[in-house]
Amino acid sequence: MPVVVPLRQHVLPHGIPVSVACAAALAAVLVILALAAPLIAPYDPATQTLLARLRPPIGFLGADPRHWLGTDQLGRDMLTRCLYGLRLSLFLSLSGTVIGLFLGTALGVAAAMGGRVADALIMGLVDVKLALPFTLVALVVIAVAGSGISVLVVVLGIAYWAHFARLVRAELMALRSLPFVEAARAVGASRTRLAMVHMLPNIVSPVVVMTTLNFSNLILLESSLSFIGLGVQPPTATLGSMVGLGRDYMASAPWIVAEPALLIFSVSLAVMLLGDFLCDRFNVRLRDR
Amino acid sequence: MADLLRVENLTVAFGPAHQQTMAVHGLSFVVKPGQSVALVGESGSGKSVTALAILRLVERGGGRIVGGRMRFQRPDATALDLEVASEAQMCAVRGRDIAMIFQEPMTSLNPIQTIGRQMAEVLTLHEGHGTTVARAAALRMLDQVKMTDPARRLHQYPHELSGGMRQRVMIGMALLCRPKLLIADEPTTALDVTVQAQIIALIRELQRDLGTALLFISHDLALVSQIADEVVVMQRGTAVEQGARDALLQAPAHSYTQVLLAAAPRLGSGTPPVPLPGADEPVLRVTGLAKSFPSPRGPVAAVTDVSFEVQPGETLAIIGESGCGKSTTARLVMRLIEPSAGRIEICGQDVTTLGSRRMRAVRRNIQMVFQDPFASLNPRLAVRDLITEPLVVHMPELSREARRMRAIELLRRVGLPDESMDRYPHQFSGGQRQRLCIARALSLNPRLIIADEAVSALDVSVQMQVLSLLRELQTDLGVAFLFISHDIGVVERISHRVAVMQAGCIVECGPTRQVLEAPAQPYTRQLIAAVPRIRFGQVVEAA
Repeated sequence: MPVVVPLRQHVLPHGIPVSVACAAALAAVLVILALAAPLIAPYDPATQTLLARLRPPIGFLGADPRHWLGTDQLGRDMLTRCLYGLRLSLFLSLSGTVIGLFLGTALGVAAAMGGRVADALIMGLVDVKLALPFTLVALVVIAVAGSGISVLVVVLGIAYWAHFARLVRAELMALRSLPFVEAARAVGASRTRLAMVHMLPNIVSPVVVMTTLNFSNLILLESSLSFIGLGVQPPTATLGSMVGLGRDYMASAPWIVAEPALLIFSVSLAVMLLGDFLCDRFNVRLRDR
Repeated sequence: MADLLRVENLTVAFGPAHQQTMAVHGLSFVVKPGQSVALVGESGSGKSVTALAILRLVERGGGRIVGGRMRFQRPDATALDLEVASEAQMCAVRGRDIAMIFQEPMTSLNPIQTIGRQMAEVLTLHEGHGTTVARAAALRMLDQVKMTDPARRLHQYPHELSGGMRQRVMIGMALLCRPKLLIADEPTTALDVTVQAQIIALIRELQRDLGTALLFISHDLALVSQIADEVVVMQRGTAVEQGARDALLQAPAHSYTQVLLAAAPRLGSGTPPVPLPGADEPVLRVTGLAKSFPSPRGPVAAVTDVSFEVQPGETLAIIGESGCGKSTTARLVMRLIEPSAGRIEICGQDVTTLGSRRMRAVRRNIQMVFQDPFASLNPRLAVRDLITEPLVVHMPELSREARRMRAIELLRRVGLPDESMDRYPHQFSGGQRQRLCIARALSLNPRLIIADEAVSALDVSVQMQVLSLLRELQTDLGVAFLFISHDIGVVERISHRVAVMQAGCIVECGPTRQVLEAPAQPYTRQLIAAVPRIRFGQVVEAA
């Protein structure tokens, strides 16, 4: 007889764990900073001050009090660039994740519910997508459409749809043979009703987990694209490109990498914790009896 | 004679210390060498927990032995107090002095190792035998548990064997080290009745030959009456009655034992069903139905030629063993799968080839209740949405308020409180969930309800309640049932007519009394003979 002993968690009055409340606060701060970047950033993100290059953050020897988080190799204000980088990175990964989520889920549902031909076609497409090196695809798209923010959004959007499609299809396939879905069919429910009422709500948890994972992955993917020159073009800053371009100065000026890296970490952490929480919230079985 | 195992005041608790629940409370019993003792009770009565506690495996499931003593007499005549024994001492006892066989033979065997290797491992582990010696012993044991062609079985994998053969392997493995005590936890529950009869006969014979004591755990009092010397009836963790088999079965003192006894099948003495209504146009007529499934080795026929009729207000039961095609027949009638051949008429309308849209209109008249009440309700929907789903699908014009009223009416009809409306399936017990499934099936006032093993997953006392609910609904609403079951004891309580299926065909069909008391076909006779019945006095060999 398996018995679940619940972990003791510190919980706020509304039943929200303290860790989740912290994550929500962190996410809110990050989003506000990103949205307000043009208003609160002290400098222009592209302005170079070559006389004030590689200044450490305040508190370290040689710091410039005008640059709280120091400057980079071209004398640009790190605080300003971090704020703008956060803004762009959040926008790119959010839109990329949303596009991938909807595209992949739609195709996954179509594959699972649309009959054998649709399934074969869509899963064939998924296999092709997974077999093609993503960099190559990105290269072609950018070569054809040019590099710009909107193109990058599309490229990031198509980066992970295949993962969603596979996950959604597999989960739906497993659900399809469960008695309660069969019971709904016996009642006479249409395919649409089966999908919308009985099946999709039951796969929310794995999809939420996948979404949060992909969100963090996209931040890193964008940085690797920037690094090989396919992403956002300099001097525009994203968190990923800042880490990529700062890596030559790791030894002498570690803050150039550490600051945006810390932001990436905070974003990922907040997203994961919130995702976990939502995952449990969507599970009616975990609500109190 | 000294006691082999003496359990005194055993108490096992689950959950955190401040709100622990007692799974077993103050249980005492004695197993003498060579004797067989049965623990009988329904799910949650603590019988399996007791078995796990004896082997000290209960801690892994989150339980704790909080009181009592379990003294086990080891073969070397020293006594071991199991409740305080160290893990090393227990490792030496488990499998060698006390062996256990479980309910589900498929998952109890490692799927990627051959039978021979798994059996030999027991011996190399406990007795330190070499592989060759161990293999030879395994072969002898397979012979002893009456496996056909034992030499070939050694090289086979679990999936190549049937359920009954796997259970024979499990028994063989358990007996390899000649244990003094064999614990059998519902060893035949997953098996068909004819196989069950063979396995019980085998256990009894081996027990006699090897002198092993047996602790037999079951929910089935009739089965227990065939194998046990002593019976302990458990309810909610305590023994409500215990004693020698004959005394206990002939004069049960406790009301719960009486309930269990009443629920046991006694062919020929079941409640007589209401008289058959006059013949009318049948609600369901099936002619020459067949279905084969594609497989890599060519099509496999699940149903070959099935014809029957169900009259309005009648219950027709289809009985048969697993794999005979009875569930496939139900799913064919519901048009959940497409028939390969044959004709299905519902209320006079041929529905065999109706498109899904036209079929939807037909489904109003024919609803289904499934076997597993835990899996056949969408866990994400509240009860009000679950039981009114047919209304949403078939009568979209109904207002929310009208649906709500109907939901309350349905809940009362199946004997659930109004407050159930806003709860979710996981908050109900198995019997309550099956009531919800019945409420859902009733919501459109269908003329026929197909019940596929609808009470098989329930405890016997709950079974009786659900069966009387079904009978009552039939009297009040005139609904017909196609009742699919493997359990003859259940069937005789509810059905007017019985159809016996074997290998995709109906071999015999007729009024319940006639089929069960004077079966015409040898297969039916064999099936009925295998049903365990309460037996007193000298244990009779099963047919």
